[in-house]
Amino acid sequence: MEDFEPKIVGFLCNWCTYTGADLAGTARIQYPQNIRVIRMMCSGGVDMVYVMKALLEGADGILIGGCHPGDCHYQSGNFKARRRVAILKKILEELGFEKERVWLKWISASEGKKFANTVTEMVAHLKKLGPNPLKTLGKI
Amino acid sequence: MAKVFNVSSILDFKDILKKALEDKIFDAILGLFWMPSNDMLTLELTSEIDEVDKLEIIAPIMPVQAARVISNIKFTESNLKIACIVKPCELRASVELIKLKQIMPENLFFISYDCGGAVNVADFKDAVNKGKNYIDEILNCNKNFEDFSAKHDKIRFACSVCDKFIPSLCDIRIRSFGSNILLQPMTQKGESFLSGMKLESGDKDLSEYENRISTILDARRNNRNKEREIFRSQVNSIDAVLKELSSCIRCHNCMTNCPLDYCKECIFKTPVFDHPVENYELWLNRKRVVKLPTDTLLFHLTRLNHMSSSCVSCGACESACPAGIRVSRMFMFLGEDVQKIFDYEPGRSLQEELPVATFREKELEKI
Repeated sequence: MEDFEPKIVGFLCNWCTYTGADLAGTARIQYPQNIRVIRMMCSGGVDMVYVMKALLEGADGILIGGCHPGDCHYQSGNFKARRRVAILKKILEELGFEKERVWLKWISASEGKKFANTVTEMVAHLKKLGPNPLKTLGKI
Repeated sequence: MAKVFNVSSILDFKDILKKALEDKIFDAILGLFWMPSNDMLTLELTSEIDEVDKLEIIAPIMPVQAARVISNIKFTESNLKIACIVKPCELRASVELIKLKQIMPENLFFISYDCGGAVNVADFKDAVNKGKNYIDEILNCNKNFEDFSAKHDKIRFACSVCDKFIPSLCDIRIRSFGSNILLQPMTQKGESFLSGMKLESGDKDLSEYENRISTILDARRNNRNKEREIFRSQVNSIDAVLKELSSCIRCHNCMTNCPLDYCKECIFKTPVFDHPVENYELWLNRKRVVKLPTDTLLFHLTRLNHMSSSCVSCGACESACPAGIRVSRMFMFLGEDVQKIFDYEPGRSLQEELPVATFREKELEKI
């Protein structure tokens, strides 16, 4: 398991976390390459069906990134995302799935460093957790 | 003490409905009526006074969740005045659909009753053909304050664990237990309707009634708690979930019959999951095995995520499942967990906002 490199699917909001990731890049801040980013207009636009699809397809982690509470470009998208993630996590937990593979983080456009740290932290966490058991499960 | 109106039997209430149709208080009645074959009850909308003879007000059967069909009729505002005779779970689903703007409540008059439960359509039809009379059976149970759902071996699971069988947000509540049928107005509309019918009325001490009902409630609640624990201990791992769903044939009946799965543009009705062949090749490389049709687990998880916060525990999903999956357990018990996060109870109030349509600035800070 030493050479296990987790794959993270990132659903990042255009206005904050995606721009934060951009800043990390332009500022040449190093972070692990394990994240694949999907640019969303808002974290409130992330339908949990896609989060679950990514999990069932074997993504080791999901990072949903949005603006800090109160800073949403569309006023309240991130608050609604937070409720949806709470519901998703409850269901995953009760059914015995690993809810800790799903992270919701508030990272603003100026927090390039925080974005890099979050990804680094998440990779370390997922390495400890091991590969997503659903990765090789075909009969779902 | 509460103001109630007396009728000697449920048949008298049919006469009241007839008179209401005659006086144009309602344009139509929506309820369960006998089919011409006399072996099945079906939901029907009628303006015909004589047709009311074929109406069953207290009937232990729920062929289609009434909230679905009410939404079909009333998804836009209209002047059509309809008296809907519904079960408490159908009432709760209607409340949810009103909040979801799928039912326009204007000109709707809800009549509901203390409910003893229901059996599945096939069992009902089978019983009628064998000469059994489930209607009389439930009325007899009610008369003696006995719980039909506890006595009956064919009872739907959802009914046997239903602890919300007393309606609250209706215009008239029929207190259907005991030797006298009592009609209790729950709204101003209900009050003025019943007053207009010149029935014997008065303030009545209902503590005896409440006591006897609470015995039934306690038994059902115990049953629910017991079943919840069993379900929790059985379905708590990926393998167990897959076992639970192993017979799913992806007919989508659970979704079609769920009153809360109202989206016309449901993602599972779109080509999103018509995968190109390259995807299958990809899966064959990575997983070696692809279950067909694809995305069955995803289908159920998606439904859970999208509607469990409003699940009214009616069990329509399970009744519709041809593969014997215990769908309603999954939805009602997980639904309870989800609803608990937001201190929400579907169908409890028209003012309480739907959990997924609102938010609090300070909440869920450790997500």
